[in-house]
Amino acid sequence: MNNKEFIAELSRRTGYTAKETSSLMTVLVAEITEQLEDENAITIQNMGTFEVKKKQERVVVNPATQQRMLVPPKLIINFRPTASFKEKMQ
Amino acid sequence: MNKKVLLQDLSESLVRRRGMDKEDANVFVRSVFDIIAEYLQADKIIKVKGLGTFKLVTVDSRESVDVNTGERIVIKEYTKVNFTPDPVLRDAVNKPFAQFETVVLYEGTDVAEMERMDFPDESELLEEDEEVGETESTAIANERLPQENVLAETEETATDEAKVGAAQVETEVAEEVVVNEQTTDSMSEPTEEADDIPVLGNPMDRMEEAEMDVQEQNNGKTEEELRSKEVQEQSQVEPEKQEQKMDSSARDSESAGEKPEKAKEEGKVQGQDGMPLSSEKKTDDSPETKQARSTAMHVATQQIEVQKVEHQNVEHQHIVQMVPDSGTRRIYLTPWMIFFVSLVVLVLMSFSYYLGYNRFFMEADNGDAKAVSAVRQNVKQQPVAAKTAVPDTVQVKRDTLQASSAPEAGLSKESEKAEQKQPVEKNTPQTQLPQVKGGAYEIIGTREEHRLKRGETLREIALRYYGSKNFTVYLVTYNNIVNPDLVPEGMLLKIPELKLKHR
Repeated sequence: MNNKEFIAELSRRTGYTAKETSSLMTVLVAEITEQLEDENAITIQNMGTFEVKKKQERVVVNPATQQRMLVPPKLIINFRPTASFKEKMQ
Repeated sequence: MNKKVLLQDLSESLVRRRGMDKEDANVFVRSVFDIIAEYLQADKIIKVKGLGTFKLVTVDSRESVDVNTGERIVIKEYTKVNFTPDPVLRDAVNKPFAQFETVVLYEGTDVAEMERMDFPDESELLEEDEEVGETESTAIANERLPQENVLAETEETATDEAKVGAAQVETEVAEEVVVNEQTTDSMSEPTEEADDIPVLGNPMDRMEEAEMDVQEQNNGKTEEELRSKEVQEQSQVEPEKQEQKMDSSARDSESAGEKPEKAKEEGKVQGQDGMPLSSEKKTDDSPETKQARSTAMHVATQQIEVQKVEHQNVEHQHIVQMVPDSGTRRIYLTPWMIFFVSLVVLVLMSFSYYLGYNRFFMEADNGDAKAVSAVRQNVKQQPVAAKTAVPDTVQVKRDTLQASSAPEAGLSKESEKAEQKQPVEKNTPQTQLPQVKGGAYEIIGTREEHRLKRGETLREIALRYYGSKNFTVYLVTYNNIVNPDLVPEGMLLKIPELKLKHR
């Protein structure tokens, strides 16, 4: 399912036009982005949690050249599905 | 920060920004995630613009061994939900660290030790910082990464001095303070320094550059000349080293100009026993002769046709010279300050040395001979490695600061990581018990003892006690069995108690 299909389905369910739905989605995504930027965890019931995790810097070795590289630390988004959601997906 | 945000909070933002009805907003947000949840199973993949991609990934069933019971178990096939954030979202979240880039680490950068020295002594770190400050700043001006090597080497040299022992370190200090009263005996330390310094072409060049910068001669060509000049100076000193020490540099510079070719030959001779030279070089750096020396450098600079001498030993000496050079230059302020600073350095060095000695050697006393010897080696290496780590840390810190102000917490966490990594990489016997290199388990004690009967094999025993013959290696290690294929009947085998290492 791509974004277009997603918007279509969403507008069908909520009764908004595709254009309205699309702009509402933009607002929602902006809000989610903002929350995650603040390193807040977003919990969706019966689905899972979006949270920001810090990955430590690490040293990797290129196996071909044996060259060692220092990879910088990162903030990544992690999605943890709830147990019930995982179960549903089986 | 680190709050929990619920669906209601998201819909509230819709109410705020769009003036939607609260109920409608709630329905809207809920249906967004409902659709994701519902269609994910049917479509296996859902892409939402700005948010990311949800994907169902099938993990094949696989066989595994229950590490506790040793039973073979089959992990069933299952599907896992995978979420890949949209690049826009990903970058937005990673903004605080966006300015960092992956950098190449060069040889000699001891990463495992990187942050370990952060903890023990802040003031010591500051000392070290000060000491390497000169070289560092020049290198930073060059904006090149590999200068870490240079720092590492500089530090190594310093550490070697510490290794020689308190008494000799004292001599070293005295040396610095009363440069003029040097005897040939006290020069045994520089000898060791030169021996221990690894052969590295790259840092050499950098050293040259550093020197050039100091002299504010940014002419690229002078690099070679400087090197050959050093050689000449040394070689000049060589034949007459017994007689002339103090005022040699002035004469050196002149004679160096006269016989460049002879200098090359002699440079090689020094390569073999050239250690006293470094001491002489040091003498050259003494306050009185410093000016003479700079004149000498100018003289040398003018000789463009001087041959390039690439004898490694000569290069070593060059490094050795550089170290005291930075030292002495800093020291000219007041004798009392010199004395005080050296005293502080000395105390810190012996203190940290003593700590390391206690920690690694004493514990090993109860262990077996093998461990003790390993630890002894470790004790020897410890100060070196530790000190080597310092410039790295400094460098990393500097990088961080240069890029922008990264969170302090990040640094300390990194040090934790480094500490965790250390035992794995170096296989240091941190406890008195022998440990299996790279093993997933740690030996924490003896569970029970087993008398070997005829026909039993270590594999069988491992299978019996741990449920897998893969554990044989722990038996072998813990009992110091030299040949696992030939164990004597009736031997009392200690069965180690194992604990899963946390990574």
